[in-house]
Amino acid sequence: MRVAAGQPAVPVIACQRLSKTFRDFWMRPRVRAVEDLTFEIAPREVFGLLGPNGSGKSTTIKMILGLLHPSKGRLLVFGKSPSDVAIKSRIGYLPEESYLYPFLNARETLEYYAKLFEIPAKTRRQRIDELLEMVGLSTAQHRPVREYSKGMQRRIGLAQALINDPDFLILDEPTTGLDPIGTRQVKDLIVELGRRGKTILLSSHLLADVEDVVDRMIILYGGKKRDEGTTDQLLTKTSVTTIETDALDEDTITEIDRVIRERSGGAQSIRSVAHPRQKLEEKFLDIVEQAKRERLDTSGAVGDGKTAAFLAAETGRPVKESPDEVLSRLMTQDEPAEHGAVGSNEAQPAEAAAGGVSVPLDANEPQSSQTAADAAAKDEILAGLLRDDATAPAPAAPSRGEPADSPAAAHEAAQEASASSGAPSSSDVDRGMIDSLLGAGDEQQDRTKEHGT
Amino acid sequence: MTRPAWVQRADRLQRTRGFKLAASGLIVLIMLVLSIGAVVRASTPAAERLREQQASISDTQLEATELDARDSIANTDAADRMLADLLRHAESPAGFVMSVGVVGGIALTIVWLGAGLSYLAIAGISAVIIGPLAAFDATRGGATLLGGISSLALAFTVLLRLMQTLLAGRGPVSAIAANVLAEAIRLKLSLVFIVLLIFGLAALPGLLDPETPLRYRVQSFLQYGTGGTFWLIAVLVVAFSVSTVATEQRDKIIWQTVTKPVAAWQYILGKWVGVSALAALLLAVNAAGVFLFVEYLRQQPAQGEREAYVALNETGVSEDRLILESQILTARRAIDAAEPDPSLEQIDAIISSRVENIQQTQPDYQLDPATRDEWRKELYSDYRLLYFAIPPGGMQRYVFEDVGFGPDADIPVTLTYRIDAAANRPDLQFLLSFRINNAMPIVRDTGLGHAHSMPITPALVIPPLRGSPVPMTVLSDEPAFERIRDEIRVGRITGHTTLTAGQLVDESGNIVIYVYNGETGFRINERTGQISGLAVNPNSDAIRFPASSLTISFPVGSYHGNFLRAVFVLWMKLAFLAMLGVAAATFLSYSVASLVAFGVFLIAQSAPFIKDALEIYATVDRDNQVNLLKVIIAAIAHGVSWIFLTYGSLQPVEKLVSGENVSLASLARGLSVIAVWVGLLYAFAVLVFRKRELAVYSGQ
Repeated sequence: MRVAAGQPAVPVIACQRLSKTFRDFWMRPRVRAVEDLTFEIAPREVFGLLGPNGSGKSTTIKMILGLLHPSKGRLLVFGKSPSDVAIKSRIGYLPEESYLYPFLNARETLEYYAKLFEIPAKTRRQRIDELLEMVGLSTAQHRPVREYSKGMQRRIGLAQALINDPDFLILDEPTTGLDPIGTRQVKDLIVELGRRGKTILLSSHLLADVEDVVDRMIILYGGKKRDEGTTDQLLTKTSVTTIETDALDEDTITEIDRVIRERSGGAQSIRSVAHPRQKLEEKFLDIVEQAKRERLDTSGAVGDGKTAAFLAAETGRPVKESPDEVLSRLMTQDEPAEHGAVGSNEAQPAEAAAGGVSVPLDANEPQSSQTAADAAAKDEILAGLLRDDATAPAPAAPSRGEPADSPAAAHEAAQEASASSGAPSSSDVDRGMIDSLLGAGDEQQDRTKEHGT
Repeated sequence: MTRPAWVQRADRLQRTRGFKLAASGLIVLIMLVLSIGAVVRASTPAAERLREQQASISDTQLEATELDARDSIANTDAADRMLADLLRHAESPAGFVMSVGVVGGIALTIVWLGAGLSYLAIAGISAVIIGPLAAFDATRGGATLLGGISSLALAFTVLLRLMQTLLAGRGPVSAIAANVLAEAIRLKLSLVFIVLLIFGLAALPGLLDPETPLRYRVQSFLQYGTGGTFWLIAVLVVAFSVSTVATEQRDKIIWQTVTKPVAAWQYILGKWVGVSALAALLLAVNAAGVFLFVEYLRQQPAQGEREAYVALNETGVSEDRLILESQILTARRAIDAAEPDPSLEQIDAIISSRVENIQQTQPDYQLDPATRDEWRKELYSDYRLLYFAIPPGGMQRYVFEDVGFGPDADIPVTLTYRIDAAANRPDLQFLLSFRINNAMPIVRDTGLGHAHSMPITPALVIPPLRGSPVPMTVLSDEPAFERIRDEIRVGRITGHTTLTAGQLVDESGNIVIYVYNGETGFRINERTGQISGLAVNPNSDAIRFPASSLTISFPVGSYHGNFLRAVFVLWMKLAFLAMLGVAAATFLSYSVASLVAFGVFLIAQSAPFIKDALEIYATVDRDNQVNLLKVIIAAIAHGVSWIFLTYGSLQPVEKLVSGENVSLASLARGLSVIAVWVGLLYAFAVLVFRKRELAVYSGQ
């Protein structure tokens, strides 16, 4: 997360000792849904609200939106009361279920919500087209919403939440009812929107969804906050190291185990060796991709989930660049004037990264000739480069990138965390040795260099 | 499914500005030709002469004087002038021009909505289907029904699109209002009502008996066409206004609206505008249908006519036509007989006398102020009852104050009355006599308990006959009227005069009428055989005029203006109902809010009845003990009747059917009262909505 220079860091949500008690007809307390809850969401942060059913997530969101009034405590949205109508023009909201007018079709639904924001007709049409394309409902846009499947309704619900290009997006169980493709697209969208500078509040009890995309989260149970922190802070197990390589034979594994035992004086060893299974989600997506290539018909949502163009950040707002964008910029040696936050706070790692990238690549070689593998590798490198915690001024600013998508990157994050603490871990030392044992190529060596190991 | 290329080309063509301008020019040209044609036709000398003939102007008189038509009208007597005026108004091109305007306006709307060719094609297809059906007697009724349905449905879709275009602007209020309209036409609840309305109105002409007098057919159609549809639309408005807010909250759809930049006042206003627009839309379609069909009916022959406006005997005006044009398709002002105004001294004198009587048996008795007030009220009520009651053979003088016209007026004045007597036995007829001038009273057969009317001007006043000391008045609805006019024409009766409205007005601007409970005649002096005075042959029982049942009325405007004002009043009432439903649904569930809204609607409609009922509602039991429950009921009823009296008194359909003027003053009064109520309900709804928590606990 970044804060634009010169802008006061007014939290998007400031919640202090917030409580909500539901009462019965006789005003007797019936349910204490939220109790003494305190947290803040900083601008451009992807924030997770986790908890089992009935833990107070939706109640908290409804109070943020002004649908419920707090019983106690203080709640500010963009520094104002939730009942202030003006702040709502900056908010997009996807409820836990899609509550849509059944008699309208998808286009009319978006048209209606766009008019509520007083969006001019031309912009309205353009955004609606883009959003329908994004959620894959262009071909079904004239069917009444009541005929939609639950997943299609979620998609149109998501589109209406984005119609005003909101600064703050509240997603309550956004992947409920979606198929794996939709789930993946929503997660990609959240990452993409986060990258483009949106503040996102994601509420879910599907932990995998949250883990993949959020910067920071709180975990609720029984209406109370149980834990809070960045994803890494909450999830990284520093006591265990996982190495992923191409398939190894028994001898190699034995050799590795021997080295580990030697270096730890017999205290450490390989605990388990397994061939990772492909995730069912990946398998499913492969099948769908194959079907699409074969042009099979479907009456459901069809689309590539490409983010609507209008959702781009406003001019002047600090934008997180994708690894490819940064790479291109570095290769053409453009001055990072507009993106001074990148590498400016911590010049050393940025310079190291720049050197690490520039050495193996031939600057005269056209970028289009790079292989997909090369691009993936560069993404990994640049994911490290773009880590938010390298530039963030406040502890509330978590790291972002795609740590969970890339085990290597996760490993690097763990290493970096250790490095920044000033205590060299055994894994720092092991890395070079493992690489040499595995006969790793230049890429791995470069990566090792990049992390200063 | 893609449309054929020629359809796409036609669609593109009808949306072009050039096509719209050309089509509009053509429509305006046709409208102008038709309107100018009607005006020219109505103002030609031949037409003038025809009307003069219809108005019974003597042919011989015309030939003798060789005056032009205009002068001849001026020289005829007041009755002829009045009838000529009456027919001029009736036959004036205003109705036709307005009808052309309504149809032309719809056509222009269609063209500018970019659907000119589409609707032309629909109209062509309808004509192809309906045309053959209309050719045969057996299927003509069906053709009429189909034609009515398709015309009304076409008008509905056009006005709907127009309304949607008007509400197409960005912003929460118009967006919510447009959404309400979309909801109305796509959900079963309202769609059923809309279909019912269109079908009902289209079927109504088929239910009119062509054998009944034209005036009754027109009255029936006006009654059911406007009154019936108002009730149907009112039920729809209440049900739909409640539904659109309550179900949105129940189904949580509202969450996604109020979490947008939509203030409570915008949400409520948008809902109200949407429902009111729906009411206006339905009312406009039905009003256009009723208006056009009444104009059509008006051009049909009335009873006693060879063709429209031409009596069977070629002269005069048929009674059916006369009543239709002078009492129904007009806008008459009605004035009730003035209430008696006994002086306080008179009443207090009676009270003092009563106290003295009591003190004779109870010397210490002192009258307390509360009892004095109660006695005053009671005495005034008794006085009023006595004033409007006439014993058998008795007579009472009634004054109709500030009629607003002078001695030169020759407008038709009608007296409407109803008497209660002898338990209103349906088999009894009383003879009542009315003296309106210095001539013999007019004697009328009168049924008990139901309304009667008689046209008191213009009337013929013929010289005293057969030794009678006073002249005789012959009203225009009496069978003798035409015979006497014939006698006058041929010169067998001379010296007659015409009684005009202006002659009835005294120096104070009032009209005075004397009513006798019985049949009047001459008292003959048995000794001399001369007439010695007026005698009354009494009825068997006393008669009483209930409140507002003795009224005179006279035209003050046209039927067309009256119709528009009546429709506007109906819309105002519907707009009030829309806000009532929306306000109730902001804090109540659908079923409860519906009950509340319907309850208030019915109470508001019956407020005048409640007020009347309260006058005879006793709060004491037979043993003279105050019944607390009855006191509470009376207090609530008083409050309700006070609150809704103005609303309930707005009865534009009744006025329209009876040809009474819906005055601008009553319109303004009704509008201001309804505006205040709508404003109060709106403020209440906004307040409730802002305080309400729209979400509920959704956890376990």
